[in-house]
Amino acid sequence: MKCKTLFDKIWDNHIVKTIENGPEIIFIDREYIHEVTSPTAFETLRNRNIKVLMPNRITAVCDHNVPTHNRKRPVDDPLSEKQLSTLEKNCKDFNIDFYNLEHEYNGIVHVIGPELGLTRPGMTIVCGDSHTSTHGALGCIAFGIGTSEVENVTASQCLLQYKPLQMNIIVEGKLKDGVTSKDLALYILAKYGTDFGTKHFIEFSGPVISEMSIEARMTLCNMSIEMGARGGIIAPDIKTFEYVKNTPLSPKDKDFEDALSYWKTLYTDKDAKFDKTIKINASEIIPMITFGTNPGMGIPITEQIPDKTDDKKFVRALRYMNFKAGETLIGKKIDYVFIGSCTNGRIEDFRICAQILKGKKIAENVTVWIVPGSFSVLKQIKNEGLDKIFKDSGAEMRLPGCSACLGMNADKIPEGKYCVSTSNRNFEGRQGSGSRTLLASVYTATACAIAGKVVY
Amino acid sequence: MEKNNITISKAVVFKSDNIDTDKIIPARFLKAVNRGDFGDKLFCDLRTNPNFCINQYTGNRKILIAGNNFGCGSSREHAVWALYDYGFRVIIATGFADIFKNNAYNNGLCPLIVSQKCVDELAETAVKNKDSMFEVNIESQYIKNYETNTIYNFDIEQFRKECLINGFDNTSWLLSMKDDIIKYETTRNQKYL
Repeated sequence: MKCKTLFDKIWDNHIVKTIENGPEIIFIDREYIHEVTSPTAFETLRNRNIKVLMPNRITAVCDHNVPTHNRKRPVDDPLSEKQLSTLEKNCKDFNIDFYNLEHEYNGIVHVIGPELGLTRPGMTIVCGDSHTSTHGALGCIAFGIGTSEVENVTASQCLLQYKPLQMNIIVEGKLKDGVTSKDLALYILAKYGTDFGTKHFIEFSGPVISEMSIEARMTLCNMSIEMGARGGIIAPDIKTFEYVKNTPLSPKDKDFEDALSYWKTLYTDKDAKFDKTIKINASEIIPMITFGTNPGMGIPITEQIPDKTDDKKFVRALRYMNFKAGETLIGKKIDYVFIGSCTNGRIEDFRICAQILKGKKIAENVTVWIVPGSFSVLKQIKNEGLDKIFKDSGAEMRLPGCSACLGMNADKIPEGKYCVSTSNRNFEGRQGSGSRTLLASVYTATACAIAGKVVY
Repeated sequence: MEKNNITISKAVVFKSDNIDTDKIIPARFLKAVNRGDFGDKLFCDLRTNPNFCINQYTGNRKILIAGNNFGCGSSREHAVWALYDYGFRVIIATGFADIFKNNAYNNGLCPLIVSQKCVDELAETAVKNKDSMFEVNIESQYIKNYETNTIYNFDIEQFRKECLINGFDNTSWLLSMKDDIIKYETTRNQKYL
C-alpha cells in the first residue's frame, strides 16, 4: 500500500470526483461563515435562485466588526450593523445555525469552532477568512477561501481544488521556559520569510509539537498562513481526542467511539514523502518580536534590527515604524497592548497573562485591552477569577470579538501609536490607519504592559 | 463571469514584493453587503501619494505587472474585485498568494505566473515608455511585448484556462455534480465528519 501523509489520508477521503485535466471536487464537512465575507455570496445565490445544499454543515457567527464594549443593537457603525443584520437574515432565510452577538456560543470563528467541538480530526473545514488555518491544529484540513468559494460551498458543499504541495516542518529540541508556539511561529517567519509556504500545506511535527497544548498548536497553525501556506496541520493525538471529547457539540457515546477509531488512523505513514522538509531546533529560540510591517520582519527580542538599508521595502517599513537599523527594541516606549485574537485569545493565553499581571499594575502610559476569543473563554476567565487580576492591574477586559486585530471595528490603534500585539499581522494600517504593530507572545506583551516599554 | 481571453493594453508597473490584500484594499472598505464597485478603493491608502504607480497613468489599463507573492495576507475577495473593477484583467507576477490566485480565477481576473526575466523585461519596457502595448493571449498561452516584439509563453492549468476563456463559474460546475455530491455524503458512513 502506498505510504500516505496525514494530509493525503484526509484529502483522499473527501474526493467526490476528479475532473480530467482539472481539479478535484472536494467535499467540505463544515463551512464557517461570518458577516464580512458572506453577504455577497448570498446575494449571488439569491439572484440566481440557488438553494443552500446542506445548511446543517454550515455554522455562522459574527466576529469581525462586533463592538467589544457592549452588545447594544443597533451597533454604532451603521455599515457594521448592516453586515450583522444581513447575516442574521441570511441565516434565517437559509436555515443556518447562527451564533449572534449575545449567544453563549458567540466568539471569534476560529476560537469557537474547536471549543464547541464542531472542528474535529479528519474533517475538511473552510471559512472566508485566511486564519481558518487555525483549525488544522486538531488534525483536520482547514483553509481560508474567498467569497466566490463561500458561494461554491454554500451552494454545493464542495470546492474545486487542486491538491496542494506538502511540506513537513519538524520541530526538535525543547522550547525554553517562557518561549511559546507564537515565538516559534515568528522565529520560522523571521528565518524563512512570508512566502516560503506558498502552494503548500504544512504538517508540523516532532517532539516539540507533541509537547504542545492544543491551544498552543492552534497558535502555530493560525500563523501558517503568514508563511504563505494554504494551512497547517498537526496529527491528532491523545491530547486532541481528550480536547474534542470535552466539547459540547462533539459526537457522544458510540458515535465518539466510532470517531476515535477513525481518528487513530490519522497520522503520516513512516515512509510517506513530502515535497519539502524543514527542521527547526526549538532550543535556540528566545522570545521574538517584530520590528517591521510584515510578520517575517521579526527578531529575537534582545537583538538589533538588521541593516538592510539597500532594500527599499525594508527602508519604507522602518520609516513607517520610526525605527532605525541597528538599534534594539528593548526600552522603546509603547502605547497599547492587545491580548486576544484568533492567534492568542484562548483561555491558556489569559491564564499566562494573569499569572504575570497578578499583584502588579500596568504602566501609566499604556492602554491594555484584554479581549477573550469567545463568551466561553470569558466565562472561564470569570470562573477562575482572572478578571479580578486584570481589573486590579488597570487593564481593560472587553467582550469577545476580533477587536484590535484588524481595523474593522471601534477598537483601533491611533495613528503613530505603538501596540505590542498578540495578533497575527503587523501590516501598515492593520490595527488602524497609521498604527504601528509589534507582534509578540502573550508573555512578552504582558511584560511590556507592566513596563510601559519593550522588555522581556 | 465575463470571458477573459485576449487582452491588448498598456500596463501599470507595481513591482513590489509581498503586496498584501490590506494594501490592495484596507479593511475599513469591507463593510459592503453588495458586490458594488470597489474600483475607486483600489490601493486607496497608497494612492494618496501622487508618485504612486497608478497615479502616473491615464486611461484604462488592463494589465498590472506586479512583484512576487502578490495578494498575500487576508483572504478578502474585495482585493480582486477592486483590481477588476478598476479595469485590470491580467496580473503578471513571479508568484501569487494561493487564496488570492483562486479568488482571481473565480472572478475572471487572470493571475499569470511567469519568470523573473519576463517580469523584469516587461516592466523595463513599460517603465521606459509608458504607452508601450502588450498582448496577453490566454488561449494560445503567450504574452507579447509589442515594443520589443518579444513573445513569452506561460503555463496555465487546462481547467482554469477553459473557465477563463468561456466565462464558466465554479458554482455552476459544482451544481452540475449535485447528485454525485449527495451520493458521496450519504454513502460514506462517517457520521463524525
